Amino acid sequence: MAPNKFEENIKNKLEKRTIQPSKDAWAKLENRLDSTDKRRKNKTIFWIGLAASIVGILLVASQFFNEAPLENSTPVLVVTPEAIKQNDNTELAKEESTVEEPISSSEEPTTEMQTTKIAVKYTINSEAKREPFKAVSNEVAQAENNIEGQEAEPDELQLQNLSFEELKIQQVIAHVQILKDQDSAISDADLDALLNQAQNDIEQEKLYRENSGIVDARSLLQDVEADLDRTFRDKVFEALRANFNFVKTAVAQRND
Amino acid sequence: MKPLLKVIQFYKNENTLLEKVAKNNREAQHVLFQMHAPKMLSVCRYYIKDIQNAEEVMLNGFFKVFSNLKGFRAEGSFEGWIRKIMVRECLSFLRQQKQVEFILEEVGFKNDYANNIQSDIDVAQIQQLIDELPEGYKMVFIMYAIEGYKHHEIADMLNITEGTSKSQLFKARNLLQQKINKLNKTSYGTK
Repeated sequence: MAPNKFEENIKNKLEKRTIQPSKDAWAKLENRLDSTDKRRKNKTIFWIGLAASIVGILLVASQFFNEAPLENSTPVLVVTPEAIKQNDNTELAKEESTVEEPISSSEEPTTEMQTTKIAVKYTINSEAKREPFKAVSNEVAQAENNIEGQEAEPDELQLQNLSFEELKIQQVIAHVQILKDQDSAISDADLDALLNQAQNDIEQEKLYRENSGIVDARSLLQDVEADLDRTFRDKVFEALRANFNFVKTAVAQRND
Repeated sequence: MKPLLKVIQFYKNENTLLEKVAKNNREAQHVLFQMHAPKMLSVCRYYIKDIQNAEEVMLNGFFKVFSNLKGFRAEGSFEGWIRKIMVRECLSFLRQQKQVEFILEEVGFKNDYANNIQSDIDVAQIQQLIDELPEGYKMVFIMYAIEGYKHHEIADMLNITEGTSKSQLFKARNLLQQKINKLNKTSYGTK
């Protein structure tokens, strides 16, 4: 029993004791609590930020994936370049009239007259692309329309580049037809001149369209590749070969 | 009835205070600190001789109290809960400071309790005697004699066997008694 009493005595004395902490004790503790609060807040801000960014990414991704099929199904984007194309054509027709003169000046004076005449008509009637052909002859225009009905119409839904090339092909054919009407023999030199001019037109059109009036260095470099030239030339020859007989008969019938 | 109502009022106040503390209300935390810090510093001082270290350990304890207040269940007394946290903090501090040795050698001393003399010794002297005890003796003695832990609890907390706890207590008692007797003899001698 003695140890218990002894311990009881010690315990009683010690338990009555209190020691006042130093004055800055609370300030120290407060600082620690504040710093942990900040860390906690930063943590929560970090997690909220992370969650928000994930939600944002998901939203953007879902929008992107939802829009993709819609883009394919709507033909709106295909139609808009068509409208631009017609405007471009008017501009190019104007340019054509200016560019055409020096080229044709090297040729016979009679053809020069005709070409300028046609070019002027292009500028006047540029609203509708088939009007120049009417100026030549109704039959030819009809024939052209038939040809275009077969070939050019479906192309309108395709890229602008192709449609413009088609138009050029038709213009060249019309030009050849005019020369033929005047009974002048179509030499290879004439044909080459016409083709070169048409090629230049197409290149210019491409340059303007790609960069909305500003000439692009990359496009210029691509021109060097001469891929377009070849394909265009091939196309013209193909078109000439395929349609020449048809046009010829049409003209012959008119003459009759 | 009045004292009972007062007690109820007190508990209500303590509960609302604790609720505020749990919501990280700095003012409430300060009030709680002022209420319990002097007693808890005294408890820490039992184990840790250096008062600055004792205070540092007490602040660590309070920091844990504020951080883990949600873990406090209103089953026992709040002071008892804080005190347990403080004791654990002190023990881990002592372990960090140095390897605590539980001396197993028998200190040759016969039981010679002089209960009547103890009243002459003041708290500072008792604390000094406790401070002089070897670390192992001191821990077990305070935990058993003052905190009221059982031997198996002490064994768990200090990671020792129950037998070691018992023997450490026995040796601590003997050594403490020896020291008290010595103190008394010198004081008588001076008379």
